Amino acid sequence: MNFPVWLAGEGFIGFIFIFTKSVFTLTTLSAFGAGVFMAIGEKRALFDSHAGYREFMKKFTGFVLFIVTALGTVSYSALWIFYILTAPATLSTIANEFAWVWILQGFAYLLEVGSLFVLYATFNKVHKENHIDLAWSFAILSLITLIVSNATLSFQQSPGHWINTLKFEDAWFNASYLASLSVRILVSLQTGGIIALLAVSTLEKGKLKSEVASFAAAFVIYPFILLPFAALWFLATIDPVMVNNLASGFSGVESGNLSVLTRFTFLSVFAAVSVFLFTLLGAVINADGFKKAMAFWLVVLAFIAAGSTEYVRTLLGNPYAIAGYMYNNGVKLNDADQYSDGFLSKSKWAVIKEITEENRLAAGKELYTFQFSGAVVSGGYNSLLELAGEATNVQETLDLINQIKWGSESNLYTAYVPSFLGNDDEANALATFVAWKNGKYEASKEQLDFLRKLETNPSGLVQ
Amino acid sequence: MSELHNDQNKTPSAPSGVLGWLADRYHIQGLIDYLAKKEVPSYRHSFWYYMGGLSLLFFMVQIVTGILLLFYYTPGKEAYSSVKFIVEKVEFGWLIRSIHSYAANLMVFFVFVHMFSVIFMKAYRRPRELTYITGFILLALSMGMGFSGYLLPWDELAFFATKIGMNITESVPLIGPIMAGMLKGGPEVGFDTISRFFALHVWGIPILMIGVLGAHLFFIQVQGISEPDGFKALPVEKQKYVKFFPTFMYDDFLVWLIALNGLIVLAVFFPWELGPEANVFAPTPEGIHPEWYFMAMFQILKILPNIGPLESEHIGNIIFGLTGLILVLIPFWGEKRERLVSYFTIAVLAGLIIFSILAYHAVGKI
Repeated sequence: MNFPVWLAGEGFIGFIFIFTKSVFTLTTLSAFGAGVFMAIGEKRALFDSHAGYREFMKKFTGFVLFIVTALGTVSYSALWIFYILTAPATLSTIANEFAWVWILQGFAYLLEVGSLFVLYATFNKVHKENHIDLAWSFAILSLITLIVSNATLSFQQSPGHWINTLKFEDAWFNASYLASLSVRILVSLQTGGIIALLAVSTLEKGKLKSEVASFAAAFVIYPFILLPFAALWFLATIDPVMVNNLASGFSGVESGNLSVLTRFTFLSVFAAVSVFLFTLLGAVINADGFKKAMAFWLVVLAFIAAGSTEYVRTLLGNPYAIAGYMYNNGVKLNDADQYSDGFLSKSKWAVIKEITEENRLAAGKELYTFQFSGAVVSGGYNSLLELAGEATNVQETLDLINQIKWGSESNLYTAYVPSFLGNDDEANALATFVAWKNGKYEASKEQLDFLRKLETNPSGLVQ
Repeated sequence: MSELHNDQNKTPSAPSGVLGWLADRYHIQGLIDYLAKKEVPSYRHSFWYYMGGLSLLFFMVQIVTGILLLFYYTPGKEAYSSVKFIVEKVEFGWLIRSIHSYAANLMVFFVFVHMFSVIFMKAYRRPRELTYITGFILLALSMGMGFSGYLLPWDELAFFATKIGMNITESVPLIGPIMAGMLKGGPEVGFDTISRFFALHVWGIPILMIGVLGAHLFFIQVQGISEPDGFKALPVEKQKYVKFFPTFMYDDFLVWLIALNGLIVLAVFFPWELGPEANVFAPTPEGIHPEWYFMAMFQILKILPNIGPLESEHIGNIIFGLTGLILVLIPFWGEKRERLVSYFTIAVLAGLIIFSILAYHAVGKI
């Protein structure tokens, strides 16, 4: 463990993270779709007698400029800060593997934004046909950014042969690369259409509104028809364990025991279907009457769909940051053996190195923080606290921790939480902490005092 | 005159697509023309018009999910085990049950909101007295649906809450004991009560609701949607309308879509729980309470004192009965007393909210 862990806190911070991620997903994905909409839209404006069509396209370009630059950049920066603080080990590994990809991605993004500025600035200043070529340039540059960023994202989900070869081309063209790219392209067209509908809602009732609304709606509707096929293709390319995780929640679940993954999958599918129906009813059948309130709700639905899908994607990857290679706590599976005789003593940022009765609870907290706090929230996406919820005392909790210990053959939860790394004394400390957190252990005053010191002044405890 | 209003004056054209196909075969052109001429005021308070549609949506959701639950539910001794089977074994059973339960509560909520909005917008005025009265009956029937459905899972909460409800029913002067006896099917709440509540929940009340709902919708179609004073006071050029068909209807569908998303979020993230099986010999556990829409009454009954020969439950029943009677007779108070109607309704609404909060506080929920 070469990096410190920053606990972002529970609940609200987690929500902010997913919110920011959703803003980022929608804004960055929308660029390519919006680019295609602008290029074809300008072409259509050439043949349309309505003078307002071209004026609308200019305003829309300004709107896309705002979304891609302002919202995209702010959310991108916020996400980087989150990742640097919460998952430094993962970031370090990806940076090592994808240094050139990130440079390429940054360069493509700069070109993309630059071309968008040019597109907006040259409206009515260059020949109309040439301006359409500029719009296509923006669309193609956005597609390149999408293709490049898809490589890093899909690599985390399905590194495939790279785990054995560690070759760059295996990382890039990983198992789910093409499938996930097809999903992203379809969603990109949809988000482009949704942004266009947002702009359409500001138009006055009439022929132009009706025409542009139907055109923008087509960007949402046709990709939706192809999306289930692309999604199935994607599922066929990722680790079957992940698909089993997804499928097991769908039948025979008891009330309340439904996994978080299943709940968000339901939400994701339902919201995506709602976006389709909302567009069909609001912008196709009744194109002329597409109002601002409708556009607002359409964006809300799209946001729910994007947010829940992103969350499902993250959950599917757990407990790995890079599937089969690195846990989401930053420990590489190849390095796991070395922690069998002790974890805390080898962790650079751990305050407690040796466990005593007094510091047992605090040591348990350190082990929990380093190994099970997940990437973002202290409860983790797949919480060990929840998994141990039914244990009635420290011993039962310890039995569970021994079951998930690295190398254990009876571990049923490999797809749920990372394996526990450490010696028997550390397992006991972790069990004490987890049982205490779940209200199944009464800590002594000394243990609570030590824990408080760890939380308020850790530097004073450094051993 | 606005562009929108100009649209209304155009002669409805022959329909195309599916409607055209139907119009060619079944003489529905008259109906289409009629619907195309109908219009709905469009102004800043128009969103209140969606409340009735939302109530209807949740009623329909209840019918569909109720039918699905009927495939597995068994009233009587096996009630609890059949619900447990639905929740734990039947694929998506937990989801259907959750949607059914939340839709029931949302229906009552939106019927309440609809009724109060109708009163505040004075939509009960002549000639819409019967529309208002049928709406009020629908509210009472919705609450009846909720009460009868609450017992069916036969878990601890359902049993004791129904027992409290039955005690209140029994205390209604004159007819109370007879009514309670008929509902219970014996001296105490038991398996026979489930069968009777089941019959009411699945057949009796829904048939009544469908009939009254049909009349309610018929009155609305015949008389149109009322225009509140604020709208009428606008200059003619600012009085905008939208066509009921298709514009308002499509808008209604979009609102439904959003509401369905809300419903699915509730059902998926907070599945409706099934408590431990009811034990008729056990003492009443602490914190037992009825559904939220009976909480105000529950609290009022708790704080009312006995007065002379009248017990608190009798007094409570007289208060609730009179309040209901006054509310249902609002259309007949006359124009001069409209301000009084508003004050009375505000007092009722405030009372419902305050006593509900006190009730939840008393059972330790807030």
